[in-house]
Amino acid sequence: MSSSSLWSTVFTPAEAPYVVEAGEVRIFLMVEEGDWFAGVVRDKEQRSPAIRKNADPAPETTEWQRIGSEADLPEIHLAPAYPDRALVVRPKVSYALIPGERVQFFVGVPVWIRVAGPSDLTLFQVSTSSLSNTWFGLPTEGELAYAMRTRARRDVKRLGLDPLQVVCSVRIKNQSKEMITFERICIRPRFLSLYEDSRHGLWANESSMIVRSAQEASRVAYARKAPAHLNHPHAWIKGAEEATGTHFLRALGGGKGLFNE
Amino acid sequence: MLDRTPNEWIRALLILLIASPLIRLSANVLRKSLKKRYSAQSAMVAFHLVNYGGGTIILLTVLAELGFEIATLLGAAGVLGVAIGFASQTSLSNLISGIFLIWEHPFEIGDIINVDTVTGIVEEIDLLSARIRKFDNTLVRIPNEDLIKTRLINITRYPIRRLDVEVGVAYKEDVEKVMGVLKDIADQNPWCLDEPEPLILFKGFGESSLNFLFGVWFSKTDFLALRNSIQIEIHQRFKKEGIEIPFPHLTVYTGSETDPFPVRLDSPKASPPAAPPEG
Repeated sequence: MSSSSLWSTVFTPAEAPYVVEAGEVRIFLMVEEGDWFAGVVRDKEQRSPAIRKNADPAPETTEWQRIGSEADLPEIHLAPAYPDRALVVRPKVSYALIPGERVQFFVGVPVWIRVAGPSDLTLFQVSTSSLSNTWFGLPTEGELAYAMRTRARRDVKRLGLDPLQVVCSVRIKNQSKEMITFERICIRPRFLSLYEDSRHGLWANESSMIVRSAQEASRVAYARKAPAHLNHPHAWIKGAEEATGTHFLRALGGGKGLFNE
Repeated sequence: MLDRTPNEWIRALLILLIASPLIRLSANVLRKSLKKRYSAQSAMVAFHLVNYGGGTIILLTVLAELGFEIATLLGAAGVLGVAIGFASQTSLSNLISGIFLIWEHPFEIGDIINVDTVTGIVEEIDLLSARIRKFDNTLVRIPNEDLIKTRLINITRYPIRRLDVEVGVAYKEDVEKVMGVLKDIADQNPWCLDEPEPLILFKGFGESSLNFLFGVWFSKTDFLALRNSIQIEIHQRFKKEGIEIPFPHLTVYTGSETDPFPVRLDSPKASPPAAPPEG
């Protein structure tokens, strides 16, 4: 089954049990004595997105959880979601921007699967890949985030169309008089919308930042619409309105180029 | 007092019945509103101050209604207070220490603290003592004076912490390889923060091992998960990489210029079967 049906499949009690495979995770859904039960199994194997009906039983070690009655949940569906915390992306290669330079990067964010019932009620959410933790801030105060080491791409085609990652576009303009080096990017999902294109690729709204000085806080603007190249995209998530002074990117480089909140 | 009219008795009773719940209600409202803005500790102290202060005022008002001379009562209470003060120096010391604790604010309700040999969660902080629930679910009451005088460690004050693991490997091992393996273990562990970066320090030459300090940062809520997993992963990974974790051993020499004591290992000979007892 192609990735297209991952987000469009409707799960009904009649065809249960199901297994949803995506990345490192397998979600088992079954109906027993009129109740839906869900079990999540995670391992190191990477699986392409797939859904199997009347699937084989789950491993014996699976921990099951009742998620609702058959009567209350006549249908269950899946929806793509962002991680539940901010994501700090550390490019494998740091990027230096000379004064006046304007660049656009593309970063792939691992998608989460939101299992939902009628009226889009969220039953639970799981990540499709294991992300380690990181700390964004000072040791005395800051924010717990997920860490991801990846390659920030200048050409979106080189990122590849992975159905389990959301492509985030980041535009940066260095308006300062000094060179700025980016070593990590903090992506805050609450400000991001999520769109699905006709080829079932997942995209975030564009974000852009103008750096005026290495010491000054940089304001980030989030586009309120889908990326221009998408034709009639389906909007899965509408990002929150940005707060005043919201920062999105923090850069570190050679003792300068530190953007504070 | 006994010559009071029924009206005066009723008035005193009404003051008691109406004012007491009102004071209690005000104290509760104050506690709830302070809890939102300030710490639970400040809210609790304010609650007690209003409750006890209000209670005292009600008592004095009722006594006045019943014909007692308040000035005389307060005078007697002053003399009594001095006497009680002398008799309860410890309580007074705890009370003053409690005020210092509120001002200094070294911990708050819900923090995990270590005082002497006691480690546990702060359940309640009062003007006289703090109540700590240990991890074996026993309650320890620590007088405020002790909290002021003793070295206190607030384990959960900051959102992230570092777990230091002492690792020793055999002298034959490659130091750089060991450091690389430790870095990889930290990278692979989901509880271990990748920033701040783990501290991997070659501490020096021990009696039987090369000693390393492996310090990994974690979110304070992940302590148990990290502590268990990181030690298991070090053991498993060292085993896989063939890195020896040595036990303490001693090599004995007869002198600086001599060879070590020769040791000969003989294979044990099979002893002949015992002869059956005669008779």
